[in-house]
Amino acid sequence: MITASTIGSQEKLKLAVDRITGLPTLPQVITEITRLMQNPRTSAEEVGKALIMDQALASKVLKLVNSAFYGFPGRINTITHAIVILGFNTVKNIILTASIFETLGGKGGGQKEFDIEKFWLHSIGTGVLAREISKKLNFKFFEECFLGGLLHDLGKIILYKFMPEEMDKVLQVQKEENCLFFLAEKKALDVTHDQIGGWLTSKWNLPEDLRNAVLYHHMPMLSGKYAMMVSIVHIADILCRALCIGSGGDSTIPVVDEKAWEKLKFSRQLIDKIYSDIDLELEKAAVFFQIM
Amino acid sequence: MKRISVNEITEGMVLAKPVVGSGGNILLGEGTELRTTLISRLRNWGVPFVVIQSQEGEITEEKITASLDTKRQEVERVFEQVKNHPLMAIIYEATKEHFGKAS
Repeated sequence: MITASTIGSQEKLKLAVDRITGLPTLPQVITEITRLMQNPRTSAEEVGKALIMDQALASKVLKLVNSAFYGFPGRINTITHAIVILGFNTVKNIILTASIFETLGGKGGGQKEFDIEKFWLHSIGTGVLAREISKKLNFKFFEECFLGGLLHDLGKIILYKFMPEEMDKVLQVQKEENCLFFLAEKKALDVTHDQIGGWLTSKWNLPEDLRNAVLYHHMPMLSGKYAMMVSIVHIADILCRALCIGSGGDSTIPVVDEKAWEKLKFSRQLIDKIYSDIDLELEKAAVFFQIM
Repeated sequence: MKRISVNEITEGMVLAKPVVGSGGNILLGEGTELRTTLISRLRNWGVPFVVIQSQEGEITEEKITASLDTKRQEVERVFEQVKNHPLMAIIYEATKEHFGKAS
């Protein structure tokens, strides 16, 4: 049901994002690869050929494929080889991951008060935790969960890089009240990073599960059929804050959604299992800083 | 230092920790500079990853996993407002114990 208040917030979001100028697009080759991969008759060679049109991206993809984080034995030298060994879906997720870092990574530009290095640590940490949680739960979409965790705060990097005045206001409120970043946004802008990020995922035509992870990571039960993945990202964000890995712009922690906790059958034992492997997984994730 | 896959080694990297064989014997000592011959030897041995010294300015695992004392203080601060919530209390206890154990 559309209520007056949702129309209001949509309008505010539109007003806010309409002011953004110079917003980057994902590398053009992504559109081409997405199109190719939708066709079941596409061959590994065709995807490989499309990707090498973007040499910078292709080298990042190969670097990731050969990293300890993905942990495939033996050296993979070509994209075609990667697809044959790892399958279309895995390679597609790795290409998307590399293109996100290509488009939004790096330290350039942005509001000085916001610690971008800590932001990326928090994003990567949440991705790694989401991947661990899904592996422990035998949820097969663990690579999608990693991407969901990595991108859940997409809206914050848009604020940081392209809406400096708005970011300034949010940071000021956050500092004064020592509240969650989300609440500071609500107070300062009446538009929040999950809405801004959700808007960008639509604009970039990112997959629907990812859009839900970005838009509903604070309210996972609103994500309908994606509730499993979004609940995983929601709890990964909280565990990442608990472990003090980086920072998303505040130093506090939101209360876990009880329905999400129940859905994942979360427990102390499960947290202990996740924590026991997390340091090693985080070490391996250092590769993401090398491709920024 | 950082842990990398053998596939990520480039010539000239220096081992920050020794490479130890399955029998516990040291195959390559700490401080060894990895040249082409050694890199292929590592591959032949089937060593999955090595720990190398980091170059200046890199974000390394020390930065990712800050000191435990700092972490313990941060955990207290982060949970200050929420640790009375029954589910958050479970996460809080697990996290505290995790940093206690890791020392």
